[in-house]
Amino acid sequence: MEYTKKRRLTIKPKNNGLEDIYQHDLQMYDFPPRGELLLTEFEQLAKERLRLLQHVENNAVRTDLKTLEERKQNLSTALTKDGLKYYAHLLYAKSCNSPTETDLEYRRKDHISHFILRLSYCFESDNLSWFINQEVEFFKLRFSSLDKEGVEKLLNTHKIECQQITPEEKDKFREELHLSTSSARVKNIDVTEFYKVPFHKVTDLIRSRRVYLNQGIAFIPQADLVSLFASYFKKNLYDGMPEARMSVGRMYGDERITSCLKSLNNVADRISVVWTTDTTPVDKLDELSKTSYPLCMRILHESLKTHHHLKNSGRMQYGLFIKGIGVTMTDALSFWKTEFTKKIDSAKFDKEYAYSIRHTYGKEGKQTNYTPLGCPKIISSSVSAGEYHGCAFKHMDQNSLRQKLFNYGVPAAILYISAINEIADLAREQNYLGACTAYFKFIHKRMPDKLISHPNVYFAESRVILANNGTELENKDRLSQSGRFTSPGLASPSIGTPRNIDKGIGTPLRNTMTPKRDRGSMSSTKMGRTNMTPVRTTRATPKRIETHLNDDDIAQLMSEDI
Amino acid sequence: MEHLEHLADLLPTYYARLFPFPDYYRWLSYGNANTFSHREFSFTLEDDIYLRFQSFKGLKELELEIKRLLPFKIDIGAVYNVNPKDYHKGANFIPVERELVFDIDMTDYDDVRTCCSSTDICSKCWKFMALACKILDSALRCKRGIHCWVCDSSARTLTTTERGAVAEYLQIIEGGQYMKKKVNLPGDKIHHSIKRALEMIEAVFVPFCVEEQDILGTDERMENFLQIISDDDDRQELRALFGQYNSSKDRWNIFVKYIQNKKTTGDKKWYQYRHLIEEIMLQYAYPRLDIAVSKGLNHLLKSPFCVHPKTGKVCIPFTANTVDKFQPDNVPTITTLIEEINEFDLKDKTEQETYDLNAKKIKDYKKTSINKSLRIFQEFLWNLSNERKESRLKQNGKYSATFCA
Repeated sequence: MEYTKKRRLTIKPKNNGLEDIYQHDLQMYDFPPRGELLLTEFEQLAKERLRLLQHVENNAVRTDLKTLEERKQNLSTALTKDGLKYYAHLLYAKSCNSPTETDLEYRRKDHISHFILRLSYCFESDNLSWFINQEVEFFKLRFSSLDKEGVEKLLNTHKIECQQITPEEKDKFREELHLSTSSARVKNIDVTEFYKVPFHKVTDLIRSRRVYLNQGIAFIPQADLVSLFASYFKKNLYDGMPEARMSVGRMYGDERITSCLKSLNNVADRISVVWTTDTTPVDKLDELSKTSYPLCMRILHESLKTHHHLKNSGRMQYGLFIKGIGVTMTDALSFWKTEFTKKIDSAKFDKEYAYSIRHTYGKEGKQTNYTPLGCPKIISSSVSAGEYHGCAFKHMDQNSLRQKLFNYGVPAAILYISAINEIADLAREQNYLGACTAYFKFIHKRMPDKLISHPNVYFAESRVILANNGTELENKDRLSQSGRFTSPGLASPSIGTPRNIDKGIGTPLRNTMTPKRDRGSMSSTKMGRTNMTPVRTTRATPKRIETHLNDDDIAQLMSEDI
Repeated sequence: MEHLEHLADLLPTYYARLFPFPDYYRWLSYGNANTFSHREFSFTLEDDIYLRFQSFKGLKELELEIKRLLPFKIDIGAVYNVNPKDYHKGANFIPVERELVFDIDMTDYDDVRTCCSSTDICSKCWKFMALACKILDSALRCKRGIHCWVCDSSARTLTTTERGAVAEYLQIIEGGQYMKKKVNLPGDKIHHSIKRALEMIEAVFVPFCVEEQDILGTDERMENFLQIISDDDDRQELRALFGQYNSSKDRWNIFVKYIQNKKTTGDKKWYQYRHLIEEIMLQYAYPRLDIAVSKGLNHLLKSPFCVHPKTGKVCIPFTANTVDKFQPDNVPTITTLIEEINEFDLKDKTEQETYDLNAKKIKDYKKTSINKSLRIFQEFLWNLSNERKESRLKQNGKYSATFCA
């Protein structure tokens, strides 16, 4: 790869050979760009690509966009608004065979910008998987725009292993093909082409049982070919990363390039966890679980208190959450121990559970400082019989959910039937974040300032509101240590730079300012006191636990549940 | 955990005279010495001392170490790119290969079985395992609970994503404590693989689940069952209907009739009930897999032929064909095995004295009831080595063995 050449300044001869290089609107990025590039263009392309991927990510988490067309339309609008018209164009590109000069220019930008981000994202596994996920998502959307010719051309150019089944095979497996492919995607078996591919090339179709599988061969209908291409695309990206790393190595020392690359990847920015910066005492958890926990955590807390046990995934989800809200490791150990030892003896606890709690805090095994799980991870977790973790709005059936909401809401007259209906309906429509936000709204009598996409964000938002309401006067003394006491103006992250708040790294915000609260002298003295509490100012970069789920230590973490 | 009494006294004899080291080595080396030497073992010694990342150059070293350490439990992990013992702290330590494994825990059946709970198991609940075995076996042409190891070379080299896909493909029952209905079949049709499983379940559902497990036999069980029905009116109606009958079987029949009636009368709710009967049968009888174990390359899973420290039962292999005849209560235990050897030797000795035959050396395991299990194991090894011979031609056949713990 010849990245080094790109930064030399020169003027590009117009479209010289571009047509040969960029034969297709949709690229697999299987060769690096060659040629020379202005440093300013290098930077600009990279930043624009990053914005593109951020748009793609935002688009993917929208649950209100039901159809593929809606998703594409929404993304296209967002891209055009953000001045990224060429990506909006590429999104709908059909692979036209006689490209105009503009087409070629767009393809070139697409190509180069992708490779620049590779350089920036190839090192750290969190970054890398984020990058690849967004690229794959964008690829899939673009693939759906291709015409028949475009698909065939892609298939031939990249020699993707895939064989159309014969009419005899179709007859032989007619019944199975009919049963195993969704009628929404395949109206009539006779007029649909099927392709045979090794099952490991279309794991997403296997996972969701959407195709017929026989002896390790998946029979996929034309409409699902995108899975095959996407998995090829993904593998290609992963395989290209060692090369990218070497290229960066070769540029080492060129401050212009390295500083630019560094500025591009700050995946910590995107982890939307809010770390509570002070200690939360465990004896307050009962109360906090009622006032400030999201429903999923409240249920875990309640089950732990009732059954004096939680299975492994539940311990992980809840344990990381309380770590995030500021429960120290020592406190966490005693908290879990107090509960568990109501059923088992303390030696057994020390032997079988204490390790995994210390591990959560990065004190065992790989010493990874794990980050609390975010909503996407929680929503996609698998929950089995006898388990309580997961997202309440997804993993509870309507009856149980309504019952739970009723039980939690009525004694305090917080949740009326109409509210329960609103929340449960949102959950039924699979708008889990919406349901969670609605739950927040009814509990707190106002909307959160931030999008709820992480249980710890929910908690932090709740603490800010409750603190500002001054509703917990009697608890304030101790609870204030946990709440994020930001002054009302600055507390709202919609202004300024929310990302800085999110990071949870470096100096906590409230250390840098004097809280302005004129609600009675009492609370301001508390504020003063809080201000003096020592805060953790440094913190290891948190890792996302989901990307480490296969590590040895997690294997151990996951070990038998009794 | 409380252990079997005298386990520490019995283990030396077990490892010296019964544990099938050569066959064990033959299995885990898969015809390649490096495959064996890069494999992680972990031992649990007396007093819960836990040793991870053990690895051995060869049969001899393994045998000596096991005889020296006398592990109460042996777990088998993945094959790594380098030998785990010396290099597991290195940066470049990655698992490269492992069997595709399935773990079925009897505990996960607690909400649908009525005979036992927690870690207990009887011949009635073994039927859940038997059914699980057959369903897995048919799906893979390939478990207190069972473990299933799929050992052919293409299965061993699957990636984490691919394992996850296979595991989720087989995983139908989902949902925790607050999800009463745990099976939801999407669309109008039922996927081929589920249909195949259903055929096996349907054949035994009434005698096994409805009658023997008596799933509608008591008020509490009926209530659990009714929770699956989400519609309040229908639940009420069914509750009333159940009240008119006394046996689990009659109640099941009236339930089936009630649901089918929805179809014939063109009830608006029919669509939501289109698969309900099938879904309920799956919920009560489909294998409940612990898929976390199957997904990861480096999960540890208990080794066959190790002794359960609490019950003394030996983890032995069996095949899906014979699973119905398998009696969990008759699994040989370390105590009975050693008694068997002693009895045999005693008898042998008297016979020798009587007939004065030339003392023929008989392998110790042949003197005991573990012999049959070893024969199964050897046949499996023989299939494996055949696969290796054929592998240059084609490798689609799946060989698996299932072990009972």
